[in-house]
Amino acid sequence: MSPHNVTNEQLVRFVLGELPSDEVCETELHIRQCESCKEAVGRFGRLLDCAGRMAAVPVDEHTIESANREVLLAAKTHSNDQRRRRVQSRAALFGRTIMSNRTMRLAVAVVVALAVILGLSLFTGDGAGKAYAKVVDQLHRAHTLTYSLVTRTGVESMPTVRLDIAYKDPRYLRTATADGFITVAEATKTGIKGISLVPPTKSYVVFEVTNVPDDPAKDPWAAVERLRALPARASKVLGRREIDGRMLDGFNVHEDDATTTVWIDPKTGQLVRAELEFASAPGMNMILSDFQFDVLLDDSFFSLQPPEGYIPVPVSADVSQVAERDFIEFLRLWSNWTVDATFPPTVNGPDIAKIAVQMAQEGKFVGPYAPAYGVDRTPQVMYRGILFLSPLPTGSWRYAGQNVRFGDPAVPIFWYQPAGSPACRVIYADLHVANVAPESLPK
Amino acid sequence: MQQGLDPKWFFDKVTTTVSETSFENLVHEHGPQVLRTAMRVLRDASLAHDVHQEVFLAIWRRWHTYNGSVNWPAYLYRATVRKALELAQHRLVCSAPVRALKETPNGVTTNGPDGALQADELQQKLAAALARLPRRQADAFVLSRLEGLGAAEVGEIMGCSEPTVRVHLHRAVMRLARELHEYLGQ
Repeated sequence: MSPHNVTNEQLVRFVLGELPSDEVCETELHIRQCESCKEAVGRFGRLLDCAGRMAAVPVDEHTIESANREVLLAAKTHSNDQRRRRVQSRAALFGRTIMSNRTMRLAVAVVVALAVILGLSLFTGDGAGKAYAKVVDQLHRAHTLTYSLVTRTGVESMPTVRLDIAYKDPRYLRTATADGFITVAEATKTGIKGISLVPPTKSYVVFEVTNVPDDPAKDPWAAVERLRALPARASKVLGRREIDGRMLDGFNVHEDDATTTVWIDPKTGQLVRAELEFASAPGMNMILSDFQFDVLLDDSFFSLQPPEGYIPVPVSADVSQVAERDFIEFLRLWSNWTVDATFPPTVNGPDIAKIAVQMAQEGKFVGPYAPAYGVDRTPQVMYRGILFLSPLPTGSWRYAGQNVRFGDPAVPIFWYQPAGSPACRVIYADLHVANVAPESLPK
Repeated sequence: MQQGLDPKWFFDKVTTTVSETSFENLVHEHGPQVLRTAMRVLRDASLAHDVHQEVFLAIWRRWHTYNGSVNWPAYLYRATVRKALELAQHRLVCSAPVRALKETPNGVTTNGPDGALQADELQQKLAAALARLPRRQADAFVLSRLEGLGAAEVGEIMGCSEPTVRVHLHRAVMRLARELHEYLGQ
């Protein structure tokens, strides 16, 4: 075959593997002999290789879910008279969505404030970190602690939340999500005060909680050290694996309904990663990682000053005046507020802040406030109810209300053991309460 | 077949009708594919997000006008490719020039220590060049080479025969190679 008998289209078909077999050998032979065709085939091949690399770009499920949610929200907020308006950006759209409703803004802000207070369960008073550091030599000089906490609720369509958490001994806490939900808290002589930013609503919540009992077990340094020491009690040794480019030793521990997996750096003995799962909350897990001690954190990082232009929503409460009935009322309110009468996806830490905002965006609440409670009572009931959890000792309570609808008297959604009581209190999905022996608690 | 595409899913959906499918179902069922296609063309999550939203919002604005015979997978593929290529061309305006790529003895295309970066820039150039192709050539190339669809599937989407798909693809490859001649090297 002479060079003039081979067309570019034949060469393309050759590269694409579309040539009939009787033409392939002939074309190959020609390409070996013809420099210009050889170069053309090389270019076609590199072009297709480039396309192949473009095809291999991965897209994770979370990104897909997020995109779908956003487009549905955008469609919902675009009523007929807005159809001609160009969508300039997702952020602007979401801003309009919530800012257009002042009551919703207040309600969402209060939800965030409540979540913040739950998040303070690891932060219990002046000097607790120091006290523990005296016991653990390794941490004795550590004045700051930072780590990340990724929580997946296991509830369909609810987001996975990543929090970057920073403690500064003796009294500061800061939590932040990537999209700017920031909470800063400072321990006071009588409790905790702080500020929580709600970027979608450009509002901030100033909170002050008094009579918070001190619980050394909740000290963050102590919590990290407990995890680090977990291998001594490991029920299963997972061996050495490479995680994020590091060779780590894994250990597995089952305690009550929680399974904790810790990954330790064999060279330093330091905790690198901890993964928690709960038998009573299938699909939910928490991953703690990126632990760092003594990172330089300026006090300004923990500023209680709101950004300019943010609107304040002040709240306050006395923890000692809050009781079980307040928490039940909160659960009743939430199930009254949600479209499908379900209980909160989580009552665990500041995760609920982001989740509540998203639920509002997605129209999962029937309105700006719980219908049976009205605009005035909704924030107050929620605030008191959720505060009930704050003083409960670590490990003394369990929430299992995710995906559960109000009404079934046989489904337990929350249980805890009151201080000094031999029995546990169990709240069921119809919100009646029963005393149950610890050995008979739901598994 | 490329990652993320299930042929059965694809052909099952060809017969889906508007009357059976709410807009929300449409988003949930086809959103993943729209996002993946946009990502393959743009390789930028934020831009792919924008394509995803613009494609579906355009449908939503005309939702009441659709009748029951819409072939949603085909429609969405075409709309997604078009929108993604528009953005790709627009993005190129601000992008840096790339140098020609060379093939090393082991077959890896690179031009030095920053070979990966150059390869990424070549992908941008390719996406922009795709945007300048006649529409049907661009559709044939993206659906065949980026989405990994066979000629029959591409023909279903484009509404033409398999031989016609191949002709569009061949012309696309030749034209792209010509346009990117200096970047693809000797």
